[in-house]
Amino acid sequence: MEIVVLVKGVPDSEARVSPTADGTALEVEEKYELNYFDELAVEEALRLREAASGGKVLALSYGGGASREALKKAVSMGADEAVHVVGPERGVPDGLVTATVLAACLRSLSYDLILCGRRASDDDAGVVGPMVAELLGIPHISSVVKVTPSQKGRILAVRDAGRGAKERVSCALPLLLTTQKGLNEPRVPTIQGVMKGMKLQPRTITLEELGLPKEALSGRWRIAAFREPPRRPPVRFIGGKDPAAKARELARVLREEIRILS
Amino acid sequence: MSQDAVWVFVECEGGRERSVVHELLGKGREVADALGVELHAILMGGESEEVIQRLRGHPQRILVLENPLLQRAGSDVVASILSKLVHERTPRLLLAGSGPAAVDILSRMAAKLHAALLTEVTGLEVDASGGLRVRRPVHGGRAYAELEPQCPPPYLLAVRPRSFPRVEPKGDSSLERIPVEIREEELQLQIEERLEAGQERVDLTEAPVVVSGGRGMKGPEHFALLEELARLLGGAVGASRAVVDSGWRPPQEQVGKSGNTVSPDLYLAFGISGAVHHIMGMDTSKYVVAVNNDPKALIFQYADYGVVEDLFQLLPPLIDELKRSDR
Ligand SMILES: Cc1cc2nc3c(=O)[nH]c(=O)nc-3n(C[C@H](O)[C@H](O)[C@H](O)COP(=O)(O)OP(=O)(O)OC[C@H]3O[C@@H](n4cnc5c(N)ncnc54)[C@H](O)[C@@H]3O)c2cc1C
Ligand SMILES: Nc1ncnc2c1ncn2[C@@H]1O[C@H](COP(=O)(O)O)[C@@H](O)[C@H]1O
Repeated sequence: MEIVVLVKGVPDSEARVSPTADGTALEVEEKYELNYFDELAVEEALRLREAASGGKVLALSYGGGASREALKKAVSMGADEAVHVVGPERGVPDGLVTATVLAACLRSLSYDLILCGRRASDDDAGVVGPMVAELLGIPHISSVVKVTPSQKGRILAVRDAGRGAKERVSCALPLLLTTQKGLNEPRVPTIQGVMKGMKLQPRTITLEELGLPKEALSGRWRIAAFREPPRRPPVRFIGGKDPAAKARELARVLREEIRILS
Repeated sequence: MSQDAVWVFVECEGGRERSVVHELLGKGREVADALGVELHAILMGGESEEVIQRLRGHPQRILVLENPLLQRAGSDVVASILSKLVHERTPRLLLAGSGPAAVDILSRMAAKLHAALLTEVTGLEVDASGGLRVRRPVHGGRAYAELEPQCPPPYLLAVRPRSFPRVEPKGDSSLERIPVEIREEELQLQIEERLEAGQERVDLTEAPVVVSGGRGMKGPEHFALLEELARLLGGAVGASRAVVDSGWRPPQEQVGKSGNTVSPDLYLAFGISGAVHHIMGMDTSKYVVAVNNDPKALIFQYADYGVVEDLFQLLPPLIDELKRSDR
């Protein structure tokens, strides 16, 4: 089975993120990691390859330096190949542009299965996977927590259907899956893996080579401003001589200040 | 008049519309009035007449798509039906609730229609000239972006639950039933089995109050205390990743970067340290109350109210107090 994993490099959770004083741009500290859900996707691809004792796992990313970090991590975990579609460091705020680029590249690759994350932690959009599937004209199953290949080129998956409900779904290949927490525990790369990642020279593809018209690359949204999140006032500690007194005061706050029971 | 309308997608779960639908109808009405256009609600037939009754009075028109196969259709089929309708009727704006099913459908529609889509929207304004400005958090709520479309409509927006207030209906709605065509072979995904959660649960992302427990809860048996508190406050139980990874609570209750993003009116954190990964999933809550026996716990930096106390000492008297006021 040939599997392509879509991987995105995102600022790590500790990276400083703040709007510039005039609100026209966002300053993001350059500390990248492989997006959490994409790590699940890479792991699942490796497991499927191992279970079938054959096949190929190719990691694909679109972007700048963050993409290189993401591809390094995927290869250090065990991906066979890496393809980097070279793009701007900071993409436009439109998932459809990303999906258009990825789909254009995927048309030149061969695949049975495409795996990607449920959402990326920087834009929190959750749109690129289903968009890529639509552009390629293939079905997708989102938020999968279990994947089993079955006979005759079909995949059986269990997906998180919300509110604790689960669905067992089957579908013919080619197919795209998005990963949800609970699918697997991603492996920690071995020393050899890390070395392989460090030496990685991904195959690079330029946007010109993909032959995309210029309109396809301009986003449909314009950033008018970035804002700081609303700041909370400093915490008010609820005191009292004993737990019962604190409980009484907290109940009063819930009722009278937060007005939760009124 | 029906051209350029504002549409609200009525997503149903288990035969009931999601509660976010009522928030969308309120906001949708406001936006439609500002633009001088009609508000239409659009839903998949097969849902009960009671759903239609509850929608009445909000939109000028309720569009009901009818085909028995819709109940089994995947997001690809639904997206292609809705796209066709959007193409024919040219609404200006389509609002849906952010959530996996609706985001799947809207993403496919955006790709089909080359339309502008934003998800996790928390704010929406229309200026005097009819221009839209949309607000959404980025980087797990560490900043907000305000965006304006720079392409023609339709604009597709998936709105985060609890971003807009519910409003009471006014006026009346007309009903239009629209038969749609689906061929059996279009249904590529086969749902083999649906495993329900058992009891009917409040959706964490839609709950007005979330009562969360962390590793400080010490074990799964103590979550009965949080369940009781959640019941008294009309809320749902949430958990930190440490709790979910220990198998004390199911994964769908996890709040944070790799779990759910919630923004209830009140978020209560018991025995949660306040790691940044957790904060990313709850920082947009209106009020945060944290209970932790360590006065230096990070969670207090993200809370409006803090109680430095052993949670096992605080919870029983707190529950008693609230029961008293609950009479
Ligand atoms: C990629 C990635 C993604 C992650 N995603 C998430 C996520 O989605 N959600 C998430 O929550 N975490 C996530 N984490 C993990 C996160 O970093 C923390 O490890 C986790 O949130 C800690 O959970 P906790 O606060 O329950 O436990 P701890 O950090 O162990 O904190 C327990 C707290 O309980 C207090 N306590 C103990 N006993 C009592 C008592 N008797 N009374 C009162 N207080 C008491 C302690 O003082 C302490 O502050 C993620 C981590 C990574 C690396
Ligand atoms: N620039 C990118 N390169 C490769 N994959 C991406 C890129 N952006 C998004 N993805 C994939 O799409 C998923 C959802 O991203 P998003 O829609 O941005 O939340 C991610 O988890 C990735 O698997």
